[in-house]
Amino acid sequence: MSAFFLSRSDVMLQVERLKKFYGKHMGIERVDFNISKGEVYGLIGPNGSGKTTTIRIILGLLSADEGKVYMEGKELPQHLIEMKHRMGYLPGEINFYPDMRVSRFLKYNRQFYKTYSVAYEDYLCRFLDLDQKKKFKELSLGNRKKVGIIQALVHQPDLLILDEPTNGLDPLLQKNFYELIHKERERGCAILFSSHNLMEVERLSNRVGIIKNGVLIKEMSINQFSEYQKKIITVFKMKPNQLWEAYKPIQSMNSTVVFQIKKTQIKAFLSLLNQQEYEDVQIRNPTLEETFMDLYTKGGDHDGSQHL
Amino acid sequence: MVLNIFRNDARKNMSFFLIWCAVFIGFIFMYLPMTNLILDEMDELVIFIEKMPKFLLNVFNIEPEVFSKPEGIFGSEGMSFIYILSAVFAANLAGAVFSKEFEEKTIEYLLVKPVRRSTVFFEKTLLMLTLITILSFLFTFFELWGFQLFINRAYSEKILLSFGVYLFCVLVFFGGLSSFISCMTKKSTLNISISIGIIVFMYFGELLGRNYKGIFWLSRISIFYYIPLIDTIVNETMYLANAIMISLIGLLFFVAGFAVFNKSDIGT
Repeated sequence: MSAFFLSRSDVMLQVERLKKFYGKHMGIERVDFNISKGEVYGLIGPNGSGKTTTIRIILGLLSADEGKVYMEGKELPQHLIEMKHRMGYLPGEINFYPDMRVSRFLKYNRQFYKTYSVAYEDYLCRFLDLDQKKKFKELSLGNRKKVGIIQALVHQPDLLILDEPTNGLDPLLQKNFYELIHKERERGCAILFSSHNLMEVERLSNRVGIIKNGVLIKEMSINQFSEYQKKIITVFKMKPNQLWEAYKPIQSMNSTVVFQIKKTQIKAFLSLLNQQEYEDVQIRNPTLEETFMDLYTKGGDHDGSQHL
Repeated sequence: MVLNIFRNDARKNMSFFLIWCAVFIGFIFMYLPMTNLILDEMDELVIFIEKMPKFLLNVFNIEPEVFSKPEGIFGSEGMSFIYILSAVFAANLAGAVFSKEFEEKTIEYLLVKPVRRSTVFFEKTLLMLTLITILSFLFTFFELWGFQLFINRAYSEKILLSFGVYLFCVLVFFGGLSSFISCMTKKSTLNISISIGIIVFMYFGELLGRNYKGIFWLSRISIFYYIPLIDTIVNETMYLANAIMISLIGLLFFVAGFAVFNKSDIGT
């Protein structure tokens, strides 16, 4: 685990062996990860894999059956209130008071924090072009998200938790949001975000954790994740041959055959390929989606390691 | 800032509260003008009442002695309505303060902020108790004023004050009970239905229990047994200790509600 190499004072959030059951139904079974200051950690997995449950336990909305959460070495929930002053949270589904005007909501929100900059609030409202006169129920999904972003960032937290942050955001707003996240990261804020948008993960994260059926099955840097030890090789105009038996194609259509080959096997693959008849070959890095699906379907254990 | 949640909830529920105040005050001012008319025709009414079956008289809190006093007419029939209205009010208030927060999922926003669950619950409970106290005070004030305006016969202010105290303890009891149910069910419709069910069961259970020895226990488990309107009017006695005890039981329900709220998983 990369946090192993960090000094303890660099670690902002430490999650240890979290387990949560909803009655007999499993929420998460084993989730461990660390996030250091200034790091963006993407928690990825499909719906129901346990991302939101993990986030809710960190925030104290759910109680864990087992495991511990520390923020800057202080155990939560014992120090939760003290630490919540330094946490910001953007929920996936924004539910604020429907009949409250945005201006009133922001005023209400500011009263919860010891340190709060109204000037920064004004800056964020202008930056995101937020109409403060409307009632929350009158806002579009994108505008609701803007309010969510502002209330999460406005007190300049040291730990930012984002649950599916760009759902419902138009491309322009997404760009602004990424800019804000970049600034937070530069400020030294540790960021945990959950997503199933792998483009977003690639754009924002330093590190990713892959969660499957409530278990964090793999952790890796974003570079490792993107170049995950495999290449996608597309061979054009090739008939079924010996190569097909040795390396099972992942796709085959109109004599165009696609293979997913481990880096260590590429030499052998190409030498066998050169003995066959074909018109052209294309070698590329897998997309994040392809990497994720490969990891996910194989459980990440085909290389024998749980964490890189 | 101090009492941030209290102030926000007060603002949110102000129109709801003002409407209920208007309902209670309106009831007083619509009911009291009838009292003089009833008392003017009391002789005929007493003859009629004496011919009615005793059971029916008991069920509807009708006693010639009670009906010969202006505060008796208001206390026997009017207060029955007020009791039922007060339980509906308390259940709705608990729904607006607690259940709605779960239903609209705004509780998640609140509990992510740097504020303890105990503070959230305390401020919400404080708001409920404040509104209950104001409503009881307004009721008592307008009841006394209404009697001054409309009633041209002698009446006991002590009895009228007793009605105000009884209203307060019924509101605290059902406020606490409804808050507890709200925290358990997290649904306002369920909370209101259960709370109204309980008041109907308690109110009519007390009447039935009083008339049938075999089910006397129904009376004993009802709070209305301990704040009897007829006895208050006839004996000019305020059952203050009982009212305090009922209020304390109501507060215990608030504590039970907190225990549930404090342990609740949010957003499962």
